This record gives sequence, structure tokens and C-alpha cells, in this order.
Amino acid sequence: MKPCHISAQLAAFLQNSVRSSIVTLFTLCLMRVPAQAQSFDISLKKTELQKKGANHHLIGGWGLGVAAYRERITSPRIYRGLQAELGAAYERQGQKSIASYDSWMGMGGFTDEAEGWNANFSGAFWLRSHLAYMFRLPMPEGRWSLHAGPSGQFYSMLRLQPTHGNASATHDFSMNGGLRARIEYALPSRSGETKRWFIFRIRESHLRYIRLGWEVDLGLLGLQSRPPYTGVPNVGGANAVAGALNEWVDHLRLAGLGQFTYLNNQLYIRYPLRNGNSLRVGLNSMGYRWSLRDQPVAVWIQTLNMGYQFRLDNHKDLR
Amino acid sequence: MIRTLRYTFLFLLPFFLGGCDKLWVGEQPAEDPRAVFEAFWTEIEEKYSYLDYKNLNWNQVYQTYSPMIRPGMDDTELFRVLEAMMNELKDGHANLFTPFTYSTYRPLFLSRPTNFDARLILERYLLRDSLSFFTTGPIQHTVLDTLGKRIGLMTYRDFTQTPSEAQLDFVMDRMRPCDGVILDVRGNGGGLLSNARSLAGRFTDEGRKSHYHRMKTGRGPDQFSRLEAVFTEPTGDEEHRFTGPVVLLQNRGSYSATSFLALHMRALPQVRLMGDTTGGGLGIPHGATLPNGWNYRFSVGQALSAERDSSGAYWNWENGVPPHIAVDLDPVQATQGFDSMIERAMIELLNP
Repeated sequence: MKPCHISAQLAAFLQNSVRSSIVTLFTLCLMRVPAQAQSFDISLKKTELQKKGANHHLIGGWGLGVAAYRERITSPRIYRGLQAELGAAYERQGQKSIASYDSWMGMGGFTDEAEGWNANFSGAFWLRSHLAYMFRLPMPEGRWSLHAGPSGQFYSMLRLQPTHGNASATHDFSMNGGLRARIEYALPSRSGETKRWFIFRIRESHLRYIRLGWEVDLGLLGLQSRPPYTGVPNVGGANAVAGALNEWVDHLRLAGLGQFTYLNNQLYIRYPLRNGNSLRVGLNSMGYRWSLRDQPVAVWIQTLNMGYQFRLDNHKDLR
Repeated sequence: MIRTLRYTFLFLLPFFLGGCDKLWVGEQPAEDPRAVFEAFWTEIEEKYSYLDYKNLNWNQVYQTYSPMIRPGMDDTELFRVLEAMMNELKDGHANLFTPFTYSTYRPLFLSRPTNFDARLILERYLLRDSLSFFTTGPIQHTVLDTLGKRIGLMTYRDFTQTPSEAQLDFVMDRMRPCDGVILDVRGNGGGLLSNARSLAGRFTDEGRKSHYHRMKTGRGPDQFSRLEAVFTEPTGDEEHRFTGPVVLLQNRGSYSATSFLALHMRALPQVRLMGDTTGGGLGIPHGATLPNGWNYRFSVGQALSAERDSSGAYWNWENGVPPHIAVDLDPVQATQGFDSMIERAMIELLNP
């Protein structure tokens, strides 16, 4: 079996595993909802969150996944591979709004899956960040919450392929303004905790919320940079750095939805821990496509990420 | 129940949206010979920077080679057709790379005399006084005592090899007391442009305009970036430069970055280019992949003269940088142990 086929199969396996495991987990969670909902009379409108004011969270995480890209300047072929990411996020949850920032940097190894010994390999590095301010929108049911608002998105990718000589490094970025929406479901969960009282240990039950959410970022208008038409900056110039900078400025364009597409969506589960912090598991998919004919590029990155969410505030009674 | 199903669908939606990479990047391209040929022909038509300059009718080329493509032809047959089509460009920077071989336009070098005998230079000049001979990084050099005058001889055969600043300082320290220097770059097929620049900068104390450079920026034959002036700028410390008379020895094997060196040296008033016209290769090449995974490259830039001709146009140096003094290696003298080009260079330096 050839290395590229192994890589492709691993990627497919991982992708299918991620998908099926999350779906299974989610389905199991849904099946438990009715019984637990009867145990607690809850409503997000009455949660302590709304009584206590804003919560601050700091999230650190890592992720593994699959990615694919097509960079037509240097190749009509699609490159696929495995990738790893590291990320950090900050979130301020208020009564009526959520402000959040997250940033993920990743790298991956790719193959173009050409037949046999014709296969080419490449490496890529990327950074994606989101800044959003969302307002709480009315929802008919108490356990659901819906937020939406403006967001800023930044995506940047550097691709390296030594066999391409002067065009071996191509780079682009997208800095957009757009919208973010988040829908979240608070799944009540009984959680046991023991406390010492005299010589006895007493078990106390607390109400916690497992939160299931789906978050979508859509770019509407942005500054897009593309590599030079040939993939080569003007290295023949006396000052290669200045030449490359000029090329970069030349290829910077303001574009609207339709000329480019940026969509980042994440399905996540946040599970509360006893210490007030949370574990967060998410399935993130990012797609970017620059559609103009001369320099089209398309990138797709899907990551299963795991994070630890620290509570920065002192509302320890809030579960 | 219906509500639960509705929400379940809502939550599963992102999997279908995000999980489909084909939605974003599409399918792999067809790899059949016809698709490969069409993609290759189109790429050259849209990006090659010398179609106009070389007066190539690329549509005519299509008519010639397209009928040679047939379904089921094997890789070597396809390679030969693509190689022949690419060689219509007559460009040493136009190469097709496959796992089993690669193409290059050899008549560029083979149609002219070699004008270079490495062993002759080593035996009869560099090792004439073995105590004076040094190999400092990629540069071999010596100082020849000729009729009481000191002539420095430097050879640099490969610009993919980069000397350190300290190594260049050492070489120039030895050249500095000389009455003249022969810089021999015959057979240097190129490499890093920065090496050519840093070397040329060791022979000047002030910046001088060398040439203009531009890159292809669109599909049209005239779509280029703005002209960028390129200068020969001083490099290294003043005490590690040589600004006396210099002869640059070049041949058709002096290609790519070495042709750029010739351009940079040509801008200096005390420098004479001698030998044959360089091989050219002043179009910066890009690299890319065909639908079947083969790689290729061809020129996407242009180097133009710093001066204009009588019609107001810039000269295009793609076919090589001509010498001030045209000299070929005399094979008869070579059998007698003399490199006629070095000998001619010495005469030039001794009788400025």
C-alpha cells in the first residue's frame, strides 16, 4: 500500500470516526433529556447566570483532524492530509450578550493523491481567529438560547512544497467582517459531590448544565490577499523583501460575499466539572474559497478539538 | 417527539455542511493524457513571459502537438509529446519533471562551443603556485604573478553554494592588492540570485543601476508588473572590496543567476565581460504541477536593460548577456596548456 493511500485512508477513517462518535454521543444525550428535565425545574431565564452578571472564561485546547486544499496557482490537484491544532479562547458571557475571541493555529502534512510515484507532498501552516459580539435573541423555550451578532474573522495559510522551486511557498489571508450565530441547549444534569459533616460524608446533588451548541461564522466582506499570479514574488528585484511586499499589496483586494466564501461552524459539548471549570469537546469545520478565476484557492479544515474551560470569575455557586 | 427530531436535524446539519470537503475543494482533476496536455498548453499560454518576445504562435503549437495525444498512450509517450511542445520555448528554464526523467532544452548549450576546460584551469592556472591556491567555500582562487603584475583569478562554478561573509572577506582580502582580477564563471549554471548579487557588490563602492525586472501578472501577453529598477549595491566592508579592473569570463553555460551576475557586473565601469554570450535564463521560473502529478517550470519574469535603444525600447536579455569582448577557447592553445580566454583576459588587464 502506498503512503499516499495510507494517509488518505487514515484521513477518511478519522473523519468517519469523529462524525459517528459525536453523533452517537449527542443522540445519547438527547435520549436522557426528558427524565432529567423532570427532576429539575429549570429555565435559563431564571439561572444564576442572569442573577450574577457576567462570567469570564478562558479556554485552552488542542485538536486533531483532517484538511484539504486546492491552490490552482501551483496545482490543479487537491491536497488532503492530517492536521493538528492548538488554540486559546476568551469568552465573556453577560445577561444579554456574549463577547468572545478565539484563535487556533495548526499545521498538517498533505499529499495530492496522484497515482503511484507521481504523488506530491506538501506541508501547510495556518492561523484562524474570530472575534464576535453576540446579542441574546428571544427563544420560545427556556432551555434554548440563541445569540447572534457581528463578528470579525481572520484566516491565514502558508503552503510549502519544495518541488515548486520559486513558487514553493504560497500564502494567502482573509480578514473579514461578518456574522456569528450560536444556538445552545442547556441539558440539566445531576452531579454528586460529597462533603464532610462531623464524622459523616454527605452526598449533595447539584444542578449543572451540559451545554450543547452550534456556532456559525459567516464572512460577508473582507480584505483578501492572494499569492502573485504566478505564485512567485518579484524575487528578481534588487530588494526581494520590498518586491514581495509590493506584490502582496498588489494582490490585496476588497471582496464581498460571492467573490469569496468563509464559513466556520462548530458543534460543541461543554461539560461542567466540580471545580466550576468545564471540559469542552468540539467538532470544528472551516471552509474558505476565493472564487475569482485567476487565483482560485479553496481550503477546508475539520478538527475534533478538546479544551479546558477555566472560570475566571468568582461565581463558584454557579454550576 | 417531532420537536426532538427537529432539533436533532438542526444539530446534525453542521456535519453535513462541514463534513463534505468536496463541497469546498471539489474533485480531483482528470488525469488522462488529453486533460494533462490541455492543462499544460493553457498554463504556458497564460503564464509564460516570453511568448511575444520569441514571436511564438502558441495556437499553432497546439495544432501541431494536439493530434499526437491519444487515449491510452503511456507515460513515456505522453512525456515525449509534452517535452517536444515545451522545447518550442527554447528556454533552459522550461523543464518537465517526472519520476522517470526530466526535460531540458539542451541546444541552448550544445549549439555553441563549450569554451571551458575545468582541468586546464586547475592544472595550469590555479595550481601554478600551489601555495597561493585556496578553496574558500565554493570559490577557488589564486594570485598569478604575470610580468611583475599581480592578477587575481577567482572561479565560482555553482551559485547554489553560498559562501559566508567571512569567506568572501578572505577572498577579497587576497584580491585587494592585485592589479586586476579575473572572475571566471564559465559553466556556472546558476542557483541563488542572492549569491550573484553579494558577489557583484564586492566590486563596487557605489550603487549603480543594473537592469529592470518585471513579472507576469495576468493572462494577457502584455500583463506584467511595473518595472522595478535593480541596482548593483556595494556589499561587505569597504576594506573587503576590489574596485580595480575586472574581467568576467563567461560562456553559454553561464546561466540564470550567472547571467544576472553578468548584468550586475556589466553596470560597473571598470568591468569587462569576455567570452561568449551567457546562456540567458533571466526569466525567473515558477513551478507547478500537472493534473497527473508531474511537475514543471517555465519563465514568468523578464529582465530588461537599464538603458533604452535608439527606438526607445529596453533590450530584453532572455537570450543571453553579450560580452564586451567576444573570445572563444582556442583548442590548439588548450592542447599546449593555455586557456586562450584567461590569456586574453590577462592582456586586457595588463593593458587597460
